[in-house]
Amino acid sequence: MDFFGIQDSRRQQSLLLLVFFSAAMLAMAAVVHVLAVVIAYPSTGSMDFSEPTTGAKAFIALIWITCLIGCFFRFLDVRAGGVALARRFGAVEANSSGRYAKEEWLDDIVNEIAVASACAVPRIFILHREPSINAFVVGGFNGKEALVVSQGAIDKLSREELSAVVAHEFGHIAQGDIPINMRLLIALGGLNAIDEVGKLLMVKSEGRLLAQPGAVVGFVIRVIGSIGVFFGRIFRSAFSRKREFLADACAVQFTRMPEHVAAALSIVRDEHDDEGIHSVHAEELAHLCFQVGDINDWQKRVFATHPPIQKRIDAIDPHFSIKAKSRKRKESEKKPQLYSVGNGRAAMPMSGAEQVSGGQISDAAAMVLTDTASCLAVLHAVFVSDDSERRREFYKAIGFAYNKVFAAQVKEVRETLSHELHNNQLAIIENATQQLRSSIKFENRQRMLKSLEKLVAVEDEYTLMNYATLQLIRRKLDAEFPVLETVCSGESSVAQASHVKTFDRMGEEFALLLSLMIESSGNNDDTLDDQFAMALKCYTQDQLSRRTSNEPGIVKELETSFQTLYVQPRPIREAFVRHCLELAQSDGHIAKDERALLDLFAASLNCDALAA
Amino acid sequence: MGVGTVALIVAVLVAAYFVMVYNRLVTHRNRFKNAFSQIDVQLQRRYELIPNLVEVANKYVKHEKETLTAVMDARNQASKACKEASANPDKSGLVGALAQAEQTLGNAMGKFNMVMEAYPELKADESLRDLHDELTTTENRVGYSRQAYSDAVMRYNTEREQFPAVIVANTCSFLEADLFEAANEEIREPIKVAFS
Repeated sequence: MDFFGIQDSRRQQSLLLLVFFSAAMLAMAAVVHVLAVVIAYPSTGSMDFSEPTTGAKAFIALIWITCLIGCFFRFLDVRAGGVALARRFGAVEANSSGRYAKEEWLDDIVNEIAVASACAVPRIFILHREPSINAFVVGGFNGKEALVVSQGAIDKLSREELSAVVAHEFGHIAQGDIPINMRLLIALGGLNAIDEVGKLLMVKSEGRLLAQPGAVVGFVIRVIGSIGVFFGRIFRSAFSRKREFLADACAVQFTRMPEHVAAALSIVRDEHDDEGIHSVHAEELAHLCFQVGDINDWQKRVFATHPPIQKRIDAIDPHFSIKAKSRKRKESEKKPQLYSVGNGRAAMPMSGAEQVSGGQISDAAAMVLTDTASCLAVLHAVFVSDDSERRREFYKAIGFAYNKVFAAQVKEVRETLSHELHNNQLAIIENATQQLRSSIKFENRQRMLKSLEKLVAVEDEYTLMNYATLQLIRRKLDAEFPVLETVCSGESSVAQASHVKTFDRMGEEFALLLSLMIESSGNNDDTLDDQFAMALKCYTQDQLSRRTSNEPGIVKELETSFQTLYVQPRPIREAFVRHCLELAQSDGHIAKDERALLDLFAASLNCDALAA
Repeated sequence: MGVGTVALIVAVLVAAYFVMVYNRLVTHRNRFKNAFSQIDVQLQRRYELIPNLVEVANKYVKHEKETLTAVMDARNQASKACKEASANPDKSGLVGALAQAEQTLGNAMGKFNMVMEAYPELKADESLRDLHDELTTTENRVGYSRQAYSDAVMRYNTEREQFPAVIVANTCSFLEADLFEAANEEIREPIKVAFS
């Protein structure tokens, strides 16, 4: 793309818009003048526009003073400067020795782009509770900007894509959009104030429109105010759209990576669940953000602060989608499903040896997994405890539930494959369930799972790992997920409503899941406490204590937490699962238990598609 | 209106235009000089890091002293070229000489990295790893600052070559700025790898 050319043309267009805006403001002043004379006519009988009467002068003064007061209050609002505004939106300043590697990335990227754009380095803030991909710059008139990046952008984008997003925001800084935006906001504040005063006057006269002169004046003021606000908003949106293209072109100039700028935009486009930023200040922020939800309605398009994402991508590289598709195809040809096991669901990155072996099992295991009965036996053998007393009890229970022959078979399988059941459990389960899926009917699989559940639960209680394994088997057998059915199925509107909580009130749920995740890394208690406190900070300010997996009733609580989290928007769930993945990877490798839990979380929160 | 008045008005307009163009050229020249000083800042950081890196490597590397010496020589050369260029960035040839010295340093660092591969205990040294990470970050920034410099130079050169600004530029000695590129064509060629 010829970014210098595009920048020039967009700059000219936005200059033209600014000229229009000034002309519109002058026109409004003229209209106010004329209206003032016309309104005063019945009482004064004079229609002299050059020498308005005292009443008309008072009306004109009322309008302009209202406007100025409105501007002043809005000015007080934005005067606070970037840092104060960023804090008001709930963003937290990032420190250079960031908690996560990605926070350090962000710091590096911002410094690099500052060099590339010859701008001062702004202070960096992170919106920790914002799972969508977004970023914006806020600033006052003192030139001290604050760059705010959402947690979603840090989590979901690669380094290059994050650079592109940051470079876009630097584009706004370099082009001086921040002061212009602030001035526009102030002007709009003035127009809004006129509208509000009109409303107030009309309400005071309680609908007797023609009976009171105050009501007539109020009506006229409202008309002036609303028309002003209407055109003001149209103008601001049109201006903002032009500046978005300009900032995109700047992003390409600063990074010299048009493909990554386009890629970041296309990732944003693909986030269907997402309707722009979720913060309470969404409306105020709209014109500042990297993106807002896609717009189809023409009415909305007029007021849209951002051009449609596809248009932005096309401006950067018209052939981007074709190139991306062919690249994806080539990649999938190159890497034949290294990360996905079996039917491609529950794709999570694997660690070390597992990654190499994929869904491979040893010859000994393959010899065992020949018929349906032995596959069933293997699935039962997975749950055989290392403790000899429990083991005996388990075999006895199997004998009781099925028959003694089957119990003996489970025992045999356990003894021949003891090592493999321990180290390569996932592949074994994968292979066994694959066979069972094709050889047993759905109803029978459900029944089999029910009896397996009964066996595994000791007095209606599972251990956490058994629960995770059981849910994995359930998923692999394509069986129904009873935990979530209550939330998803028809009669559940009550159940669903009981699970709807705002993000702020889910501290306990997150605390529980995080504690289990962190515990599975097998570190000592002090380290676990530290890690937990640090991870929890991302979700809540409350000081919650760390839970442990051997507390009674923990699995029931876990199920309830899944139900609560399940009804949250997808970006929140995905961001959480990714966070867990990061926690698991923080020590450089993913242990078996960590992997099992990650799998469980991803599946239970319906983030199956969340590949590496 | 007499001829004299018209001539006076034209003269004033021409003078005003001259002043405007002159000021614009000054702005652009200062911008590219500032962009160069950004490169200078990053390069200085890099030149500070390299001796530390060599010092750490010195503890482990026994037989590859000449590689380390080559790195230090190239570093000193580049540092000297940088000082000269930053004193006078618009003087023809100085930026090119710096770019050339940088290229030599880059080659020496490439060899140093290869040597590092052969010494696992050197690679495992924590302080070396930290230094290396910082060097990588600095190199990224050098890249970005070079890019910003090239953009500023391009804008300045375009401005000064356009008509009629070129007349103002030539009369007031606004010289053409050099891009950050190695002048010597041989050095720009890719390194040849021979399998014997």
